[in-house]
Amino acid sequence: MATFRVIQDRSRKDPLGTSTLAHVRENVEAIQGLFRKEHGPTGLHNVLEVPKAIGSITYSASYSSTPGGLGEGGFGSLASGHNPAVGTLILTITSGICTIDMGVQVCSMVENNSLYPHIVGYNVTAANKVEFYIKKLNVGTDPTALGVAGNSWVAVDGSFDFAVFSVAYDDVAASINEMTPLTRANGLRFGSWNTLVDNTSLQNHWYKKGHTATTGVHKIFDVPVNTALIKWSGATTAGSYSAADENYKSSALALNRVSTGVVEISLASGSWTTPISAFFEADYTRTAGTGSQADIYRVVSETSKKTASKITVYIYKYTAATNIWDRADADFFAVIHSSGVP
Amino acid sequence: MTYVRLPTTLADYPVGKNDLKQQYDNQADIYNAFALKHGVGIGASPWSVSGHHSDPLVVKTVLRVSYTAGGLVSFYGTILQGPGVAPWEWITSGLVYVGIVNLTNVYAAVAVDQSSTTPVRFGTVTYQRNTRQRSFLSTPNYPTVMAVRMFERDTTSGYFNQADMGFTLTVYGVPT
Repeated sequence: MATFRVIQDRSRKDPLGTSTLAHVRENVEAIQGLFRKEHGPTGLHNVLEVPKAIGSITYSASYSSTPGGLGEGGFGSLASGHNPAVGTLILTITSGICTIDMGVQVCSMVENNSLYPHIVGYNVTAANKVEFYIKKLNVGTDPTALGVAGNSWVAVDGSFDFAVFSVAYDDVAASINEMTPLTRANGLRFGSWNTLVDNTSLQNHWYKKGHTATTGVHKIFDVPVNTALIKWSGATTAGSYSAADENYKSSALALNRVSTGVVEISLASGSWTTPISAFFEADYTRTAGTGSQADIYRVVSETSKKTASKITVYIYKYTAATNIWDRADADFFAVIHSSGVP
Repeated sequence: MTYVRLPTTLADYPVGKNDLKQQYDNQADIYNAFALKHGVGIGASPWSVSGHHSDPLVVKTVLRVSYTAGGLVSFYGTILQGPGVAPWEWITSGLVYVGIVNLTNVYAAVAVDQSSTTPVRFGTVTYQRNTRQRSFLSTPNYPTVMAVRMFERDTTSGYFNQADMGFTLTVYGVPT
């Protein structure tokens, strides 16, 4: 890969120098080399680490979808037959952007103040199809669903956020006009000048597709706006939550423990921009070794009532000894996507 | 600085020193902004050489592991891409360790694979430090280990047991 060459001010004011022009040309290649590694032909991200498809699937009498952000890479659709059975949702992804080896991130959304934890799993059935299976704890009745012995689950239609990751679909990536290395006597000719200008213009256009100029901040839905490990103080009463290892675009998180296992998440300053897709993952008890059936298992879900100003998270615990699900405080990971830079 | 669109020229356009200077300044702006989130200049780590995202907000590694029943240890899979790639090792039923390289402040999410609607499954993930060392964990190259634990409801007992199944692990972290 070409190296970006710093051209001293004196030299760049000398339009007749072949070596200066050659460095400018090399800089085009240097930028291109960096860019094409993880970006596609139109400037959109094209790499495993950035989702090819991301958004929300919500259920209220019927399924609907909310693509995340600007449509980078193609979201897909709820094609005919997307709900073949209760608790099964088939997402059809835009063809040609994923492989059968795609990875999936998914997080359940439950109704406000839900007493029933949800679980969702995935099954990649084709290079453009992912099936999701949604289940809900099926013990007790409101308001005693939690705290009742039992561990049966039933398939239900429900809401969830998802992201699909897959390898780059076009290794060629963005193309610029090929430039012949400048040699002595090439000097400054209109053809080479035009190509230089055009290439830099293209690169600027591609770059601004997903990045804020001057700061480099990602401004697309595909890249989260907040990520953090959210830690519970461990106190049994009057404890609190705090964020650790936090990364964010515009503002740190503010955390409010409403009650046992119920946490409100917002921004310390400002708010997100809808739509929002959020992923939470329980950080299970740090017991070394292989664990045992007596360990406590936790699942984190979040409400479909999320707004630009607040996301509510519910945490559930399963105690094998008593075969009971209940609310509990716990550490968890949070990844929040929102449109643009809030 | 702000990107300035320069004119292309006809044969007799008098390209001057200010044009060349602006052309270079435009390039420098793009390069510098790009470098901020794409791994340029991060020491000798893999993040510094390739244009990979170094933005802490971007996923660093996606690990998709599939499972085929019929063998005692029958995981297979590949870590697909990224400087944060690391080996993984099956520890026991429903427990896999993943070594993470060149990342700090690591956290992750796991989603579990299933081939039908029937099993009730979920997974969890955590840091796993100071545990018994595995071969790939015994070197300082993999200072961070994420432990993935997977559970399936036993239809006979009605309880959750650790069980092998496919999963996707998405890892976030700050490049080092």
